[in-house]
Amino acid sequence: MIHVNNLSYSYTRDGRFAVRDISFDIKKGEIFGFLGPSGAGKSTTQGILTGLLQLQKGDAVVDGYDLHREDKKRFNHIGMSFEQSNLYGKLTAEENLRYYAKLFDVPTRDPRQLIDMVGLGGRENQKAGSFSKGQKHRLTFARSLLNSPSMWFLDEPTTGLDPAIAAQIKDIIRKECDTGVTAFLTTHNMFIADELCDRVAFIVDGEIKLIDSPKALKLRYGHKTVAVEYRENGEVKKEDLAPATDGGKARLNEIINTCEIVTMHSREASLEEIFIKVTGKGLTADETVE
Amino acid sequence: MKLWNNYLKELKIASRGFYFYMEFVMAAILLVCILLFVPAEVTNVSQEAIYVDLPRETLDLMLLNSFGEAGRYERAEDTTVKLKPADIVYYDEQTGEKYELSFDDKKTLELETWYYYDAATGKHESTLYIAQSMDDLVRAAKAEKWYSTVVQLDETGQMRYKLLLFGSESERYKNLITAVMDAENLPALQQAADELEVVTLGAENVLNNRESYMPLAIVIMNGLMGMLVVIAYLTIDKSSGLIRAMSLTPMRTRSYLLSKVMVVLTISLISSLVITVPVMGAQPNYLLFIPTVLLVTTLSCMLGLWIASFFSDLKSAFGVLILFMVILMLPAMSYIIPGFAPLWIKLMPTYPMLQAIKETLLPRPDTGYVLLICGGMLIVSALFLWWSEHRYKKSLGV
Amino acid sequence: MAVWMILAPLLLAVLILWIAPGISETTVNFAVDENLSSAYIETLKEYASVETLKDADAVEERVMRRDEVIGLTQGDTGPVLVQQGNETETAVTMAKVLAAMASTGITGGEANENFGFLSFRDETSPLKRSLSITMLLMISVIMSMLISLGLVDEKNDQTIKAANVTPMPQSAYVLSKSLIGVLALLFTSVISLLILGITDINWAQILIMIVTNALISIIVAFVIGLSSTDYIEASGSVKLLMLPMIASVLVYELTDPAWHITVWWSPFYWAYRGITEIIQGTARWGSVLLYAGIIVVISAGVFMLCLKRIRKLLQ
Repeated sequence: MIHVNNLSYSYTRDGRFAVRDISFDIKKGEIFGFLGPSGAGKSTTQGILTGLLQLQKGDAVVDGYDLHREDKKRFNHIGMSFEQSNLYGKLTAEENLRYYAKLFDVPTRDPRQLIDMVGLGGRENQKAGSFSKGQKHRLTFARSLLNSPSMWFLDEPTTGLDPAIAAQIKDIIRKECDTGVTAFLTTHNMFIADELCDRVAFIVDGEIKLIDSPKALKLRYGHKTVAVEYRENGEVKKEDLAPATDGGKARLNEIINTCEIVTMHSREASLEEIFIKVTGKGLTADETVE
Repeated sequence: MKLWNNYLKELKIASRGFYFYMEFVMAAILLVCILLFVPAEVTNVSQEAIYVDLPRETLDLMLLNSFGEAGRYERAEDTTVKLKPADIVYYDEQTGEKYELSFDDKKTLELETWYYYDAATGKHESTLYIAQSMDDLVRAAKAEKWYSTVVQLDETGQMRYKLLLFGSESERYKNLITAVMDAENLPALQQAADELEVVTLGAENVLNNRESYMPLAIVIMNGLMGMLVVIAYLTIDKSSGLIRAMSLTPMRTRSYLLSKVMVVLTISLISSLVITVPVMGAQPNYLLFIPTVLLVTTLSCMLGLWIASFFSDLKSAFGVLILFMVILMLPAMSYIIPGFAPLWIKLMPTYPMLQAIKETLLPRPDTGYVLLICGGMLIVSALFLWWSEHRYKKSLGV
Repeated sequence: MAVWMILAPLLLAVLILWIAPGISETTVNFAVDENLSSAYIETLKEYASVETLKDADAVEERVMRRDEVIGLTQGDTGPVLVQQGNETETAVTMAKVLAAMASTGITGGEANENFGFLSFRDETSPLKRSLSITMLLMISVIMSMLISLGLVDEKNDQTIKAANVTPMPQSAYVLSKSLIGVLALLFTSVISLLILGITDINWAQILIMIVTNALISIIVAFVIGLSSTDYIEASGSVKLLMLPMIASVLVYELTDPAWHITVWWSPFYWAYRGITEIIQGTARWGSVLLYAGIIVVISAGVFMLCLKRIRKLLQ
């Protein structure tokens, strides 16, 4: 569905690249996540693939369309949900969608249905300018589905949403992709990436560090740990132990046998921890993590 | 179809904003001002003052006999002039002598007033105010900006005339006056002027004074504003990120830009008709007038789009656009003062715009000329649109 | 944006300086049949712009064009004046006088004992003066636009809200925004006057007039900027300021003093009147302070009317 070879992009055209020599392929129906901190090159890559930025170096083919050649028709099959909502404040929710639908040459979905789907039912005739941030985001998300895209770009799809609505959005994404829609998701929220993505790419400083499924990454880089809180000499202490190691197992046995256990949890390594481990950088800060 | 749908959407959004209606209110206010304060016919009555340091009988003789068959002076009601304290300096250009006068008092003058009527037309062509002293003359001339004459007898009993000028007059103009004012020359010049055969080629195809302001109102107040307005609309979409969303649809950049321009055209056309129809009535050829107005605004919008395309940040284009608007207003000077029409003024787009609009308002317009200008505006607009589209393709969605 | 908006009036000042003499020099434009005598044509050239053409047909064709050109051709008994019919009366009269001078050879310019000139030696032509003062008023409208567009930006960026949660009082915020506009206005006005060569004036008086004229523009800028949601509303609203400005100038210049009462409500009228008198050298401190006072009173009235709205919008 998407084939990218040696893609590079420089905003300043002076040898400093926002994206340097990246290559990846995305299969049809896959949910592909681009995970990285701010300024890593996620939006730049997405911008090139959507056509918002011009292809400078490298090759990219999206849904059979070679990005070297401009072809407006390909937008009939692309949908994008922007992180920053971009709606006509003076138009109602329904007007926003109806107008946008008229710009496509393909059949479009019923705007009211989409408005209901994202939980904005009853607000069709409310001006988008009076929506809250979360409502605007949902409407932008709904708009991205108008033309039933085969290639769907999602930029922080659950940002600013409460857990209930975020869960709803995630369900919609899964359902759409189950019908064969390919999704390119950019985020620095590792929970979303973990829950939704079939594969993720870690991108840092414009370079892809690795691509694999979340499960495979956890198997490869993650270790099960046990977090135990215990009371010793009247003091509550906390330790993280790896029961897979001999030392960890021994220490865990010692604590169980000699101390009063307050709490004990087992957990897997999170994608964020794996990210830090693999790249040496955090997802939320640009500083290198020691 | 996309263009039309986009235009309707843009019109809907614009109509939900205050600016849309403000333009029509402005047009209505302008119309009221034109109807109330701009007369249809202007009587160019020149005003001059005179101080005659001679016996009254001599002055009467001058007033009653100077113009023979050409015209006559008639006594009118005295004119009241209120003078404020002032310090005045003037020079005798022949001797170089400097005169400094200081007036600390407020003074009200009742000036003897005479109207001059042309014999042939019967029109009141000029007004003469007679001052009783040199000081009064100088004070009134300075305050009211009148050209003035001082008539005195010298030691030999010869009459001397001195004309009081302001200082900005050219040598050419002064030579002209000297030739005309010479008492010996005047009859000969008058005779030569009267005997001059005059041929008029296109009489009755003129606009009256009020009607002649229409092209200025349409081109300067409506048309040129298009440069700024279309960029303002683009800026709104860009700041809100809407352009990015539009970029991800099959709609062409050109359609998007044109839909914005079409909204500006709608506003401009309605405003222009609000001003024009009550003043001009059925006189203009509206089949010519409407397309000309549309093309004037189109060219302004395309020029604005093209200029702004060179700026990565549309907002910073505003200042440059205002600069361009100010420069493009200059041909209005040539329109108001038709004798001033150097080549560089004629090369500015607003010059043919003004002339084309004026032509469409005439009783017998030169259709060929109007179509030529419209054709030119269409071609240049298309060129600017093509160029802008090429530039905006790369930058609008970023 | 601000830099270009400040440059616009300066460029206009340069343009006024450049074109005003050309306009003042303009007498008549002639299109002349070259078959007229060379002495005749040379005389005309001393007083007017003359274009020589090959014959009467060419002259008629030239006269019929858009600009104001009067033709002279060779008739049976002498020169014939050819007009289109839409020329100004002044131009036709002057053309007749010049044609008469060329016919009779009476050209003036020689030393004439009977006739001489007195002069106020004010080299600023009425046109240049009028354009210059209109430009000064326009500067205040442009600065108003600058302030209001800046406020729209701050509203959209929500920085006004951020400023509200600091110890800075609202009045300080308003003052800081206004100060930029006033300083830009003063700078641009002074430089423009220097460019125009209008320097022999009472600078203290003119600065008072300029600053007081700015008051109404600043108040309106605040109301417009804070009420507007986008650039189009802000720039369109500022256009509203242009109307009273143009009306004030036109009424002052073109109508009888009795009609001036119709624009007494406009601060631009008092500013135009005051600055005109200052440039003409007829202004006294009493009148300048009176005009400035009237402007302040009108501005204060508008400010009181808008104060509640400004306060509400700043929150």
